[in-house]
Amino acid sequence: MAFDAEPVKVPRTRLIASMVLFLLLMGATPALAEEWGIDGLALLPFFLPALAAMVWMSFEIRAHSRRRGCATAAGLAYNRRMVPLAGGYVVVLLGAILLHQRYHVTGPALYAIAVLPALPLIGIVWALGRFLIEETDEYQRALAVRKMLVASGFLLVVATIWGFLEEFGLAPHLPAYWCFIVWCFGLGVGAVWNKLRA
Amino acid sequence: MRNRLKVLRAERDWSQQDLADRLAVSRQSVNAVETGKYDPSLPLAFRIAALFELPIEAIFSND
Repeated sequence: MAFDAEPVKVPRTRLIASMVLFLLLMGATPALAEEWGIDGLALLPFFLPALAAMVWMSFEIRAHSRRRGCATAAGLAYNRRMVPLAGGYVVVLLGAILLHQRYHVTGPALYAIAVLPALPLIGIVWALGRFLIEETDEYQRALAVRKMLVASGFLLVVATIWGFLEEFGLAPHLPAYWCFIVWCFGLGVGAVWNKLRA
Repeated sequence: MRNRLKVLRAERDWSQQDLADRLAVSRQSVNAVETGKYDPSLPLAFRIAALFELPIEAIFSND
C-alpha cells in the first residue's frame, strides 16, 4: 500500500444487504406470526431466519470493519458478545411470553419472568461498557462515545416529544422499554453523524 | 493542529497501516490524525514522537 492519506473505498453492498434483511425479518416476523396465529414454542423456529440474518449481519460488520481499517480487538470482542446476547433476548422473550400465557404464573415468580427479557438487554449495556473500557484506540473510543452521546440526545428528544403528545391524547402509550429501542436507533443516527464528520 | 505525519511516513515508505501497526491503533485512526480530523492525546503524541525519534513540536504545530 502506498503512503496515501485517502481512506480506502470499500464495497458495502453485502453489509447493507445483511442489515436490510435483518431489519425486514425482525419487523415482519412478529406481524406474520400474529397474522397466522402462531404462538408459544412454535414461534421459536419462526424466528430462526431473523436470527440467522443477525449472525450474517454480525459477520459482515466484522468483515467490513477489517476492510475499512477500523477493526480493533475491543470492537471485535464487542461484536462477538452482541450475537449471543441479541439471540438470547429473542429466546428469553419468547420463553417468558410462553410461561406467562400457558401457566398463568402469579406473585414473585411473575416478577422474575417479567424481568427475564430485560437481562440480555442489560447484558448489551454491559457489553457497551466493556467496549469503552477495553478499547485502547483513542480515536475509535471517541467515535463510540460520540455515537452514544448522539443516541442519548436522540432518546431525550424523542421521549420528551412523545410524552407530551401522549399527554395531549395525540399518541398511544408506549411501554418504557421502548427507551432502549429508541436509544439503539439513536446509535445508528450517531453512526451517520460520525460518517458525515469523518 | 497541523502535523507532518504524511511526510514522515513517506520518508520511511510506510503505509498508513504500517504506522497504525507500529502505534497499535487502527488505520482509520492514523488517517484521522494525519488529515487533522482528530487531535491525538498527549500520550499518543508522545508515542508518535518516540516512534519517529523526534520531539513532539517537530511533528505537530499549533496553526
